[in-house]
Amino acid sequence: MVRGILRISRFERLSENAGTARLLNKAALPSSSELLSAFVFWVTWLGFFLLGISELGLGLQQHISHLFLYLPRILVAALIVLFGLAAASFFSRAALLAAVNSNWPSPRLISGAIRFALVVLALAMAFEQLGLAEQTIIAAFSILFGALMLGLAIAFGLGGQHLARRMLERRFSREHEREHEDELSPL
Amino acid sequence: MAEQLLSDDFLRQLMNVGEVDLVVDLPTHNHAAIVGKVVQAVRVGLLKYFPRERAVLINSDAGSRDGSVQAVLQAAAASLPADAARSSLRTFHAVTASRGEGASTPSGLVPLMAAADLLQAKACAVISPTESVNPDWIQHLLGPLYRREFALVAPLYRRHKFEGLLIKLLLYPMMRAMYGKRIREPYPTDFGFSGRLASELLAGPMAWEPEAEGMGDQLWLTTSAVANGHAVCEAFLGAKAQTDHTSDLVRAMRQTAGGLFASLPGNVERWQTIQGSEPVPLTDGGAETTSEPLRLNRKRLYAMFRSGVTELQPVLSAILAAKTLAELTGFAAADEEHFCFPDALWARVVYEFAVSYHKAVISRDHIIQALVPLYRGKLYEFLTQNRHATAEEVEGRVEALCLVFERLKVYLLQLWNGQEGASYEGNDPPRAEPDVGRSGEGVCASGATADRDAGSGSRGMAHRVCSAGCGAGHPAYQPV
Repeated sequence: MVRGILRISRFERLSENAGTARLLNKAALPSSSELLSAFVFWVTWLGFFLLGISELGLGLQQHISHLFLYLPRILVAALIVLFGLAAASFFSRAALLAAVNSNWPSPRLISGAIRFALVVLALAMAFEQLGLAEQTIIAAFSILFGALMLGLAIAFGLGGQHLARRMLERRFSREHEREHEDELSPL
Repeated sequence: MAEQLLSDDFLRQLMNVGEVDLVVDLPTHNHAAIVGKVVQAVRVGLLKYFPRERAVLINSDAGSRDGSVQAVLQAAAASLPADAARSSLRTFHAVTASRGEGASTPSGLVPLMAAADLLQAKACAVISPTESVNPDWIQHLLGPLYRREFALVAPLYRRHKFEGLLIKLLLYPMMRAMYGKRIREPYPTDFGFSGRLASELLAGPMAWEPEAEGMGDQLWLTTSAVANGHAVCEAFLGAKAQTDHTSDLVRAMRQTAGGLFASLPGNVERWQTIQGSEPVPLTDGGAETTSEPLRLNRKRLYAMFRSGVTELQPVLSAILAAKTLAELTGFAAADEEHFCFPDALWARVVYEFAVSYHKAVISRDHIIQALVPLYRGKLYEFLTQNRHATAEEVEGRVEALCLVFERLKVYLLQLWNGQEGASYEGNDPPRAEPDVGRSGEGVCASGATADRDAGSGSRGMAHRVCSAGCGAGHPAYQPV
């Protein structure tokens, strides 16, 4: 029934215009109307299942009401992960292209680091939304992010001295080379 | 409708001007040093060639901080040099308008067209302020429009054989294959259009599509004119002074390839039926190519192409067909000595990018950015192959590339229409080519190791025939 209503109301077209369809496609998920109708199906099914259990009088009413109250959080967490993955994919690809077109060294490393950071951030936010080990997740994320930055700083400052020197030399020598080159307008 | 596109201040200035016959637009951005001379040249040209017509000069400024606007107004009010001074029958008007802050190209074309429409102008010219502008440009750009012979005048310039290669290797061949008109400068900085064309485009839906704003305005105008069957001509303007020494290839790619790709869906019914191409009339002279020696770092291009193909495999696999990507990867793996990038492969790459752009398989801007390293590969090959070539030989090779694009258009159509198993079989059929133009099908330059171009001189360029994947083994062309 929900699927029929969505078809009549041209929900799919609306979803395409809003860009949601592309987002779901990239995340290898079903279409938005399929997803919505499946969600309604399972919520209804679970609702009636839990109502049936509560009618049995097993003293689970309080837990069942907690579970119902928890459903929106699960939905929001799923959305956070979905958008987080899409954002990670977009920004890591943008970084990869920018690095390649600017001739930076190790473009995939830069791109991978951005993807990793964004996925970790999205997961941390989702866990926080679910209220699962909030303090632990925040602490773990802070430690991880801090360690990553510190590690990069130390690696660049100590281990990458020669690399940094080479990069700077290459940059300045390239600037020097360019002075002796003719510039061609592509247009 | 047109009034809605104009700011209050600009509209007020235009209403003070009243109806005119001719509009000349000078887009400026920190051009105070030369814009005075350009205004004088425009005024002399108008007096010389259109003494009886009412004309207005519109200075669309992109936020200049060097007093360009004041320089324009001063030059417009100043008396002309004695030798050029004539008694004008009309008052010369000059108005100013602001366009996108920091824009370095003559953008804001739609407001200009709205102004031309409002003023009932018969012809409008856009002239970028450079040292090359002379009074004859007015006649070349406005004459064919004012006589109502043509709707669009595209320029031709005297250019170095290696200048404007993004146009020569991508924009011109593909645009020619798509719309069937051989317009050598489809992305001009100086051009003219009729008031009738402006009114028609303003009334049409394309002018208001958001994507039309993202592409270069000039390209939008050119594609709209040819797609709607308007008469287009070319006029030789002489040497082209460089106004845009941009090394930002990504930006240039967005303006050209991005614009062309974005124009395809709106004009699909038109370009799908076009086969081959025809030259457009030339009102004055013809294109001239020079070949002075240049110092170019081709090795850097090659390195960036190779690293691009290697690093962008995940992105390219979403855009290109598996076979095309495999061929490309194979060529990128070859050493510099044996590198080649056949024209047919390049055409297929561009067409597959165009279809992926249309289908938005990934972000459209990312698709355009991913094309840049591949263009560098083609650019490297072209520079290497033609470093000792004469201007005529280079022209012949561009012509050969265009023919490959035209022949492979059926492959684009198959991809565009979603036909399963789109085939480019036989894209390298044996056929008569200009002697100088045997650049495309499986013929690649060797001796690519030299670090610097020595420029023109020797014509003894060595060629070699590629083995695998470079044309051998393809049967005769069979449209599917």
